[in-house]
Amino acid sequence: MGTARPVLDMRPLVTLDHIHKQHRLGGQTVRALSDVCLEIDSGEFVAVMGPSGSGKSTLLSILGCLDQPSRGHYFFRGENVFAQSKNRLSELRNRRIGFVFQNFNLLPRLTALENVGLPLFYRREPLRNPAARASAVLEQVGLGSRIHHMPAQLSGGEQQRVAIARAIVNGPDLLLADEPTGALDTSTRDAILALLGELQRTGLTVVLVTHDPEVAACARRTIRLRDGAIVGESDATPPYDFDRVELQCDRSAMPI
Amino acid sequence: MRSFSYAYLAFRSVRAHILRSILAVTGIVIGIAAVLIVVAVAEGARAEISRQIISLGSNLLLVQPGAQVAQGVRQQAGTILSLTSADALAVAREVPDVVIAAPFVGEQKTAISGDLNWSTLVAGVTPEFFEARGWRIAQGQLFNQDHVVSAAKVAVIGRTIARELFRGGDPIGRFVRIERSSYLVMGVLAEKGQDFTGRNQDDVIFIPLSSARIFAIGRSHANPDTVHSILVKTDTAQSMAAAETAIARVLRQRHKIMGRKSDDFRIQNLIQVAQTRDRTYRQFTLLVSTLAGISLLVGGIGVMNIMLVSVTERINEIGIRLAFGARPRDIRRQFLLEAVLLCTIGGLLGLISGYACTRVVPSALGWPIEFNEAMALIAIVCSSLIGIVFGLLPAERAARLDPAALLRFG
Repeated sequence: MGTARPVLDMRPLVTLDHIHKQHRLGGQTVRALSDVCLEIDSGEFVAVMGPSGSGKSTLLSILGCLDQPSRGHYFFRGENVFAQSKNRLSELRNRRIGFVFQNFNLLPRLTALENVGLPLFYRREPLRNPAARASAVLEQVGLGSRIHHMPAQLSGGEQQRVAIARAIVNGPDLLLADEPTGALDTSTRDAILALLGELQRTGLTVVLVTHDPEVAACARRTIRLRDGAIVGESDATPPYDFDRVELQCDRSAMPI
Repeated sequence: MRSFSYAYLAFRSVRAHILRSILAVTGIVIGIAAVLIVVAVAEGARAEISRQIISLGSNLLLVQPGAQVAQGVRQQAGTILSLTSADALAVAREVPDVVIAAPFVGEQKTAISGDLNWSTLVAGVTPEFFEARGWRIAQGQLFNQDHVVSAAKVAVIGRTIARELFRGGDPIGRFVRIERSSYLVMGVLAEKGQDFTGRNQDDVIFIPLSSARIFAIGRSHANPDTVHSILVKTDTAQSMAAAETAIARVLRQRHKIMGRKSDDFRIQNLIQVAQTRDRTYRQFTLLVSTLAGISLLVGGIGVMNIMLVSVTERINEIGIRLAFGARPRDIRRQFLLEAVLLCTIGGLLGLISGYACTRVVPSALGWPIEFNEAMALIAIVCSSLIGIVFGLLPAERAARLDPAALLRFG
């Protein structure tokens, strides 16, 4: 199912090499991450768990090239990310990485279609017909009929679908999801997880931060953080066992 | 294409906060309108002044009688009638630089035509006077030396007289009565407007000097030859200063003024008087324009203020844009364009209201106004420039925002 993109590059998609991160909060230095080493391969579905303040958010913003580590290196497809210019980081975020947030973070004054078109607007080589691409992706996430609605006119689940469409519209390698189901009810949550699972099966690498063990159970690999350090990693299911993901997530049909 | 999209983005953003946008640009609107009105009024006045200078005639000196001293207090000029037409002749004859020396008498009189009357300046002159001023006839013809010699009862009138006494009908060949004599109107002078003292130069009736002496104005018992002033034209502008000294010398000699005794006459360079006035006016215009410009500056600061608020308010939007691939320069461009758009809209509104005012002011206050396309263009360009200048800081602040700080991950 799905056309898995050929992985020519056998290197890991993401390599974190002894990452340290300190935040400065009012003169006080807070250690957010200490000595994190992590490799994520192309096509993986990784859940990151941990209590509040364990450094999950910091890890995600470093993975998303939004924040710089204090020490250590981050390689994305072998490219030393933080040795690059700010413009290159913008391009990475534009083309290689997609973000999904707990509170959706859609621009309230733009329609669903325009929100999805946002990454296309900032693309260095503009598409000939960005609107067609955006509406095709909205179709893909099951929102083909509501593309001209404003975010306020959409339900939470629909808004998150728009957000996912926006995250994948430029065909990224890595999808970073921050509690994507935190603001949703159980059945909507499962539909969104099913959608993410489906995307992962087409070759997208998904890193998902969550508190919810049931959500984490969708992932084959779970990374546990505590006080800024990786304290455990479970690889409960054999790799590429899509069935289990499906079982977990497809409890209800996707309400498309 | 991309710039167009950014312009559209800016337009949407301005429209989204329409009330705030209007309030933000109010300063610009008022500033641009104020500058436009000031410049239009100033330009109008300048055009008026240069017209006055031209109507004055070139290379002119005005010789007036001096002031009488009564009990140690000097009276106004002309209180002694020290000048005579013989003085005028002497000046013309003896000062080599002088081309014309035209004597002038004048008095406010009531002129009557049919059942209409009008109080106006009745002036007695010789044909040289018109030549010195460079005044042209619009209808009919000027009187000549023969009319002066024979003290003919003829008149050349200004436009205002033609309008007030003849109701716009053809006055040539009709009569105007002054005191007990009637004068045949033989010419109407071309319209000249106000002189630099604000006197209407078209509100005058010219009759031959001799006729004025005999019939209209009368003569001084002490010296029947007196005149109220002598208008002197020199051949070049450079010779005016030399002519002034020479005239003074001739007149002192004729009036038998010796040694250190002060003159009983006064010589004025009319162009200089007008130019001094023009200069003063220019300085005043500059001052008022500067004040109007400052209001424009305040308007710009208002826009900057609103843009800074807007950046703070839209931190989330900026963060989202950065997260999905916007470069800092894209953000900068977006906010800069928004400020420019705001200010340009403000400039347009200011242009419209300023233009509307320049339509109303002349008829309401009687001020001459000059308004042209270049001024409109400059207004728009200026407001856009203000947008760039005052949009830079907010745009830079937006572009420097740290995306990691904006999007707090759960």
